[in-house]
Amino acid sequence: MATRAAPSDPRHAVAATTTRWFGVGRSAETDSARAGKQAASGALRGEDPRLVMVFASATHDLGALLSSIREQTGDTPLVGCSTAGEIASDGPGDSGVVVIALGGPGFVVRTAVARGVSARLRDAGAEVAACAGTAPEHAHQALLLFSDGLSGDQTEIVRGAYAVVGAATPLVGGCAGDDLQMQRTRQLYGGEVLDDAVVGAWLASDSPLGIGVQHGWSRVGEPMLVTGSEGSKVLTLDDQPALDVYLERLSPPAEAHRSAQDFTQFALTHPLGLSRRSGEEVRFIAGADLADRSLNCIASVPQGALVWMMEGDSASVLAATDAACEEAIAALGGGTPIGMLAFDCIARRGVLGDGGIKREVDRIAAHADGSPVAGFYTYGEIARTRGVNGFHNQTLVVLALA
Amino acid sequence: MESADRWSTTRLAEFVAAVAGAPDEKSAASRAVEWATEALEAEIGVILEAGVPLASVGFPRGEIPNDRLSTAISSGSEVLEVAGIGLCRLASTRLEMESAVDLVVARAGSDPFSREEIGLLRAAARSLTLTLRLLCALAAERAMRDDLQKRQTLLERLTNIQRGITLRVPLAELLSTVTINARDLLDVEVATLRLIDPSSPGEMVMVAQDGLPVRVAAAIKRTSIGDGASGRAVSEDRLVVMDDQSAITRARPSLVGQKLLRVMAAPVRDGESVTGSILVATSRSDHTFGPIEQEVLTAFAEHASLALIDAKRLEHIQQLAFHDELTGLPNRGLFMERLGQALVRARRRRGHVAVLFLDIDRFKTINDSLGHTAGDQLLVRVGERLRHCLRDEDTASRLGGDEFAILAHCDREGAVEIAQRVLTAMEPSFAIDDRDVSAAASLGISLDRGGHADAGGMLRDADTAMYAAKFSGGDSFVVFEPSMHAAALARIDLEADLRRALLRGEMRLDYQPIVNLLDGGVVGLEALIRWHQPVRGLICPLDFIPLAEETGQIAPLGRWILQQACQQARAWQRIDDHLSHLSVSVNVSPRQLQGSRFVQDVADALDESGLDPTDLVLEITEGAVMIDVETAIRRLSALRELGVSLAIDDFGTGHSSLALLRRLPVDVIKVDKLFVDSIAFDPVAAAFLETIVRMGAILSLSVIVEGIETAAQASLIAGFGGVLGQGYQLGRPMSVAAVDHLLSMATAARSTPLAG
Repeated sequence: MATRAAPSDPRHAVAATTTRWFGVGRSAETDSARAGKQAASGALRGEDPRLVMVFASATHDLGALLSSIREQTGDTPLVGCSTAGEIASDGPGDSGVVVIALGGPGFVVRTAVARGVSARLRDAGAEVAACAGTAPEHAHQALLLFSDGLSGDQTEIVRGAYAVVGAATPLVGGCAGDDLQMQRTRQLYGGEVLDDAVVGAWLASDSPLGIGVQHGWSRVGEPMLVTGSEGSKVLTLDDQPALDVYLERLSPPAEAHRSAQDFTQFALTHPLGLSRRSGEEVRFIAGADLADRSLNCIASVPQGALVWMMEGDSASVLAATDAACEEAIAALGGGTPIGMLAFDCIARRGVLGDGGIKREVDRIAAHADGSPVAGFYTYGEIARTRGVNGFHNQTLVVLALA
Repeated sequence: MESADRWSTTRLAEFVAAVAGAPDEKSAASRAVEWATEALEAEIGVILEAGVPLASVGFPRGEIPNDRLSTAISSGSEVLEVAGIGLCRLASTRLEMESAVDLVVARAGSDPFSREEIGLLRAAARSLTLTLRLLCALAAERAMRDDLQKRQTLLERLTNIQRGITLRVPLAELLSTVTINARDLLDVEVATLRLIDPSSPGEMVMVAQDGLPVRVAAAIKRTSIGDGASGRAVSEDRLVVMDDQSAITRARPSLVGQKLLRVMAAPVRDGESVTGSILVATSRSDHTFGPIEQEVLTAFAEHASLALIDAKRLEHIQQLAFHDELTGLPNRGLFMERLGQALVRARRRRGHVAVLFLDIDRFKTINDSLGHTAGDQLLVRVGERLRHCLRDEDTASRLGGDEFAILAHCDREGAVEIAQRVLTAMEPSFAIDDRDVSAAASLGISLDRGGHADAGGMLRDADTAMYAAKFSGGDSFVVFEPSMHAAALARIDLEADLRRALLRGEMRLDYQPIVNLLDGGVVGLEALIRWHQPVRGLICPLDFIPLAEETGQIAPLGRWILQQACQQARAWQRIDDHLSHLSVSVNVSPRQLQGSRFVQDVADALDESGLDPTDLVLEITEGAVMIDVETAIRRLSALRELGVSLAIDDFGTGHSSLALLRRLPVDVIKVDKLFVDSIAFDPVAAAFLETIVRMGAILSLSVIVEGIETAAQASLIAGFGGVLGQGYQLGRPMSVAAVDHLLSMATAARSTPLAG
């Protein structure tokens, strides 16, 4: 193989093997063109790039940002999205940009996009997943998905993708953020800045890909029955208006009773947990309808389900971080990671606080053992490794690449 | 373990909510398979119908290894190798459908499916079966609703043609009316009517048509007998459906431009022999010619025949045209004419006119099981009995099929009397082909005073009222009310709501304690069904159990009640040792007892719940036994073999005789409230009750006295030696939670020494 190893420069986050390399660059520059250039050149540390991923704050001029990145990366397939904070080896950050590049003949990549997805989420998931191919020499595969969490029940996107790729291909990724404005998130594809879209990258590698998923929340109090729900809107719990039950059980500060914004802030750290065979599935409460007393979740909460109030503290959330990283690395079958991607729920950030998330990213970096780490704070996480469920809330998803 | 139980039961509730709302079978199957796969945290899920996948999840691009999967299922394998994920654990369960439908899930890894998980899969499959059946039923319900409306339109159209015949409208015009109405009612593009040309017997001529361009019609004016659908209907003397477009255009090349996909033709007769045919054709691929469409076309063909026959204006032919050949009764045409005349006379004299519409209950079943000849014989006998019920001035007529009509010159009271006479006349069984055939009828009555109504309207109203009588179980009559048309539809709605009620979780069981009168302890609970319909509110069992019986819903409903009650009883028994033989009583409706699967249902419910058979008491009314004593005794004996206890409910209110009681394998009699009400102040009533209680003891039967409402009654009955009682004084029907509370209080009281 006439492949050149990527240059090993300690100032940049780069790791490589003989056939694969993984590089991360970041910039806190406010000028989008300069930020793009800086981050791209930091990431692009090897030859034959196969995939570029961009996670950037929506405060950037994303069009200008992409142009400056693509000046460096050329026609290399590019996927990404806006964030609620960016993650790189040196810690979490806001209003910035993180660029990841990976390349070398050890990787095969194909990308796809589905536009205007909110009315056809399942079909959109299937449409993007159609980019998955076959690569006999690259036996380890995953489908990366970045979607618009404000476009409806994301479970449907995962289901659509699963129907196409089947059980043999894991799904991994997250929902774009908009710095908690909850207004409009963006998806990035090639040079395009989109919303209401799903972008995907099918990644095949000649070495293992490991995925870890953990949340770190625990049940509070007695279970409740979802007696009324419509999709992701919970109308009644135990036959009482859902919002009233929620407020009565958790007694949040008075402001949360009156203001939708304060409620969302409180609910961020108090999700619902759905009773499942192997524990509970967490549902992020995005807001409440103060008029009809319902709760709005990010994914569906089926009628008839048993749910708990959930809460977490720094210790449990950080314990989950370790567990997710260990799970991902263990799946490499003894291999060491050349890079790790982290899709971390914005709500976990809410529990940990700014000091806590610095500690969290340090821990992820420690697990990566010198290999670069990158990712972003999400509005919902995607990881399907077992079963058919692949959409998570308030969870950390880690993808380790050997 | 407790939380695991909860896990699966609440997941089942989710399943029911997810699958019940599916609009069609395909999406129900998709939802079910997805749900099952998700709930069991499996990667693969498939529903196979006779080896062909209906829905699947987890195979890339839906590429399903059908053969390997079918082999694994049929061989009962618990593992399956799946490309890309390796060896999986396999679990499958078969749905109770007519064809072999399997719900299959496969989970990666070596973690086997637990018993609880397999139980959940089975429960889901059962629920899916219900949904699939419901979807079939809904389609039938829609068809029935349409059918009711179509019937009325058809009735009106045919009446118009009849009126035309009666009024001696020219034949050409009449035949044109037939084709136009046929085209319109069947919603097709083309209708034509051809007759054999008497001067050239191998050929047919198109005498009327609707929907063809004039030039095209001219090109196919003459055709040969035996050629095309219209020719074949004549040569084969039967209704012909052709749905091969190329065959259609081969037969009639000039029709290429009409793009006709499907044609149907029915023979038109001239008395005995076939003289022509009526044909309809459609270019719409979704328009099928099923049994209903075939029936409608046949009706038009018959009316074209009538018009032709009438047109000959010969005496004996006229006789044929106005009388039903089979029964010799006036036919629809003559009936309508007489009705028209009666209304004219009523207008002059302010007289009364009544129309009674009669339809034989379950005639189709009789026809199907005994054959058409027997069916025809029955129609003849019914015609004879009808004639005997009427005065000379009244007219009985056969409208067609198993429908008869009576025209009577009387008011409401008189019409009701006739209806009662007819029902009584139908009571003795009919001797047909050496068999005794029972046939009841449903009658609808419409009334007019002063001749304000029109003939067609009166017949239609009587038909609607007849439907109401049918809905109420048949063997009865109903007088038309203007609200009835809406009521008939409302009834269909209630039936539909009832079909969905189980799936939507609207049914609930309450329980009434059965108490030991000596120590006040609860020894058993009687399960009582409650239907909370979201729009109608709480519906009384008396209002929906008969409907459930009529519509066959009683079987799934009964099954559900048995399953629930047995599981609940088992749960209560586990609370404490002293409750380990708490019994549960379940009411069995007459139709349910007659059902062939009933014994199996009871066995299944016991099996699934783990309830000791002796702790299940089935309550059967005397009426249920009386319907068919032999079947009842067979069923009860089979139940007895299972070890189940049997109780005669409402003892003393029906035909109960000691002789019958001794023949029945019964363990318990429940004495009706009627005997309890006055015992505190009426010594005769008290003596009577005491006798029943003592008689129970002599026959070694447990006696439960129902309707105990005062403490005085309770102590009196205890004094008679009555041990068990039920009633408001002892405990009202209550929710599961309330029973939980009651039983845990009792348990706590036992464990507290002070409470004794």
